[in-house]
Amino acid sequence: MVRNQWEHRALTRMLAKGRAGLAALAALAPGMAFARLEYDLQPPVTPIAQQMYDLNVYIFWICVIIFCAVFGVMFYSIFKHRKSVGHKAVQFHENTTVEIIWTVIPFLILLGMAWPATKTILAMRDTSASDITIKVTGYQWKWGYDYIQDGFGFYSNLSTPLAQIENREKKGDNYLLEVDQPMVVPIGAKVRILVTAGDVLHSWSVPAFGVKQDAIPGFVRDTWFKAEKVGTYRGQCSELCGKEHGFMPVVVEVKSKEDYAAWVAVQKTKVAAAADDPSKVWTVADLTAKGAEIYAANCVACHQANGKGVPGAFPALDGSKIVTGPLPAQIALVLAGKPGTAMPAWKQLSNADIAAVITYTRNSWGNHTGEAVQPAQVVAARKEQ
Amino acid sequence: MSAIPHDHAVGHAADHHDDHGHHPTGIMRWITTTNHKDIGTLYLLFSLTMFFVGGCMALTIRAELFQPGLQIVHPEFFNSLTTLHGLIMIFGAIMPAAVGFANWQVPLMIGAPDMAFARMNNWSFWLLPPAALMLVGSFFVPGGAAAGGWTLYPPLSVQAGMGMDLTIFAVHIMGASSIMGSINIITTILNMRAPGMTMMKMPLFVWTWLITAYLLIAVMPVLAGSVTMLLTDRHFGTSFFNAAGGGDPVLFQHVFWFFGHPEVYIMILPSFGIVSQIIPTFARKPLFGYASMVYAVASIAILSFIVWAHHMFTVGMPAAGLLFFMYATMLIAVPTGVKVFNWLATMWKGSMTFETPMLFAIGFLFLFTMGGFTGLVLALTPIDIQLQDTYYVVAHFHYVLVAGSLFAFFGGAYYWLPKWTGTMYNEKLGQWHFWCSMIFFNITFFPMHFLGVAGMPRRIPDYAQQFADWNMVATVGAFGFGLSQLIFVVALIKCIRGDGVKAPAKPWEGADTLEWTVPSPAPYHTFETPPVVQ
Amino acid sequence: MAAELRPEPAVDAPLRAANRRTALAVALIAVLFFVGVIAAQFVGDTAVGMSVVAAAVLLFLALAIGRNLRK
Repeated sequence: MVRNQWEHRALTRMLAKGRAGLAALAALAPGMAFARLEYDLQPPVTPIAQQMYDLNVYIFWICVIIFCAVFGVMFYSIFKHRKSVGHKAVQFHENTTVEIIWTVIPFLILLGMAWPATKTILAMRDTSASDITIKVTGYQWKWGYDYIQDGFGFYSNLSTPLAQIENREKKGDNYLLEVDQPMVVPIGAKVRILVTAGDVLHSWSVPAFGVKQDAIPGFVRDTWFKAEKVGTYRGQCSELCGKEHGFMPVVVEVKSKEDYAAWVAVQKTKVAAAADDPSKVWTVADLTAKGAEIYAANCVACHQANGKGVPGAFPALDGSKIVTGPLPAQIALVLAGKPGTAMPAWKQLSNADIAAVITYTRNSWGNHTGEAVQPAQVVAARKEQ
Repeated sequence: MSAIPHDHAVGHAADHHDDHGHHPTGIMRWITTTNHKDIGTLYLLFSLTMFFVGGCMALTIRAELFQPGLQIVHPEFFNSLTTLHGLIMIFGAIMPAAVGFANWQVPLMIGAPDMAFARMNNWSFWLLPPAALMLVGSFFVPGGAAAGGWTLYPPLSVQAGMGMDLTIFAVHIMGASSIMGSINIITTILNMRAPGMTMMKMPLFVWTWLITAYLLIAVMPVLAGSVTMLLTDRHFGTSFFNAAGGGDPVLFQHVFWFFGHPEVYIMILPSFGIVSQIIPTFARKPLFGYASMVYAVASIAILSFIVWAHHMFTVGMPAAGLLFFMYATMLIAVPTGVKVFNWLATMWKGSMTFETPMLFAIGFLFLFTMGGFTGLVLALTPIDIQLQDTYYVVAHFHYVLVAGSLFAFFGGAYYWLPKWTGTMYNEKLGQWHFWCSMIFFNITFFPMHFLGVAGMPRRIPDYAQQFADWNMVATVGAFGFGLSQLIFVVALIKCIRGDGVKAPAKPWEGADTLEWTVPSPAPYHTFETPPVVQ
Repeated sequence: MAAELRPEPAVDAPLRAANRRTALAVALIAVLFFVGVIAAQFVGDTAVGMSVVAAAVLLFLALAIGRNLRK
């Protein structure tokens, strides 16, 4: 019997390629040091995340079963109902009963899926009766955490060195998922998170908590979690927010109640110490040194470490008329930003920080103004805005 | 040419151009043509070109993502690449290809001599190359191309430079093209069917395009409205999306996705139509449940309007909103499932052969359904919270758009190339194209499900260590997939050149729609006298 | 040749008129939606305005497709 040559070759090739594909994947397996992490949702540490995890498993298996059933039928048909094995086409082309059956049954399956999902949604949105409230603000490109009940706050910047990103150093274990100051919460407390943004959309996400909340400038949205395990949990910004979107991770440390209380106490004393005395007079050297740190944490992404910016996108500070020109203009610009461009307002930095970073720009690279900007000048400039 | 009320006999195949004469040749022919076949060809070739342009952007993205660390491009440029890759593939490749198929096939399948508005048809096409130039050209303006994702969310898109304005103008132009094309298609289908062809006798491809055209009329103006508001926020002092001025960034998301969700059905319905033509042909039995299929497409189209906020589950909606949109989204699985079952029932107890069009149709069935399952997973809000803005979403939409739409388009191309060019495509090349595409597609996109579940966000140029292995696999797959498409180009060129077996009027034994009653290649003018349909 | 390319006027005129009517109706609807989306931002509560536009779009679709299903 003459078989259809295309089919025969097609089937043979399919089997051969399937085997080859599996072999290739298997060969990659030994190299996969982190393989265990890569197939599954992160281990849940809150009740909501656990519900999400369980729902995912449940749906996955329902889909797998339906998939196997449906495509079992399809592959059976492909093998049996072929012209090349002599099968003749049976000319039926409608059946109302069968249409009704395969409309109603999927509908019922969907009801079965919707029920547990509904319960989780209602639980997720219930932010009442929380123990702690923390305000989270997304900025380009870092997070701000304000413990509004305790009166302190801080920024959380990516702490992975640029050298690692630019492949000049070996990458650490928590590459791109480490920050200078993580959020800290106590175990077992219902933490209510108020999320907002300072400039564009961001999204605060910690997979282990089952939390993802978009940060919308001008609006405050809330969500909650209750961590049940001590440890450090990492997530990333989950809404495109510009060039450093991939470089503003979220890190939360869950501590025991005692450790948390101790940490809060330390933060409060830091606040007192850092409250800068606006009448303090700094030296150029001190300002420049401090300014270098501020610059590295806030400005280097756009204006670059060498102050030369990115032509066409971010202006150079080295040799800039604003940086080497009249001081009031530069202070005003740093405080208010430049609306309509990527230059954000920096008024949330302290007076000392702003004074320091402006001094740094005026005395670095090719700029040698010799000027020192004092915190008091920044205070005055704020009043004028 | 006489008054004989039947179409030109097979023997005249080669001479038709000369018989009709009096139309320009060379470049002017293509610029001034009002012939639906020429315009269909223009759309298809344009879309193939844009497919490769968008594909190169994708390969650059995957090259950067081959390993952790920044090796090849700056983050801002990377964001431009992801943005333009999306815009070009959606508006430059998939949508024009679908219109190209409509132009070639709709008049032929309903027995009409051409589209209702032949000159507007020409304008509809020629709007596209300038729009494409604007998009590609935006890379070279100060500030570079738009970099806010193809979804253009403010306030980021309000911050952006000139490239965003070029993108907005391009979107307006392409929207106008789509609207004009849809007016043409609706009018042609409603008013110019051959006598005896009632609506419920139309080939399913024609039905899917009628409904797609209605969707386009409904939503392209909404998109135009939203990007116009973006433009005025950027330059004319309005604050639609700026909280400081009394507006709301989330408003943009609502308006955009009100367009955006039907848009994805706009991209898939023509493919449903193509597959509904191919499977009956190669199974040698009629499409199972024709009426159900029509109702299913209609329900999908209408349901597609009430699910948009499932793209916004993390925005902070009240529980009632989350519940409504979850239920509505899950509901779409029902008519979609009906279609899958009907296609299977068409295959069942048929007498199947597996030439290239059928391979792509079966590949579509298999992989689009997988994409449908991941869509269902994403529809469940609690799970979506974990997966929103991760690579799981990227995997989902590439399964339905590439293994779905694109594979169906390839199937349709191989299916109709004999009719369009008069030459059978080389079956061996077709088979190689299919299997390579199938295998490399899955190597590229299947691992992205794992990446998403493990927590890798979208739109990042660099990633944490635990995502490294699957990214490497995906990049290898992507290059394989890209190279495989060159096989199609070779097969296509051979057909156009006539390098192959001469195609009869009806090369496919099981085909039974009107286009197979005219010679191959189809004469320049067909059905000048409408056929009578029983 | 030209006469071959177009149907005779007797058949032609009603068809062309029908085509123009259909096209005009569809085009007007598209314009209405565009204007509606923008106008909805200025008239009272945005949510209400957008809901009206959305309902209009849905109605159009249901009617357009629904009428064809009956033929």
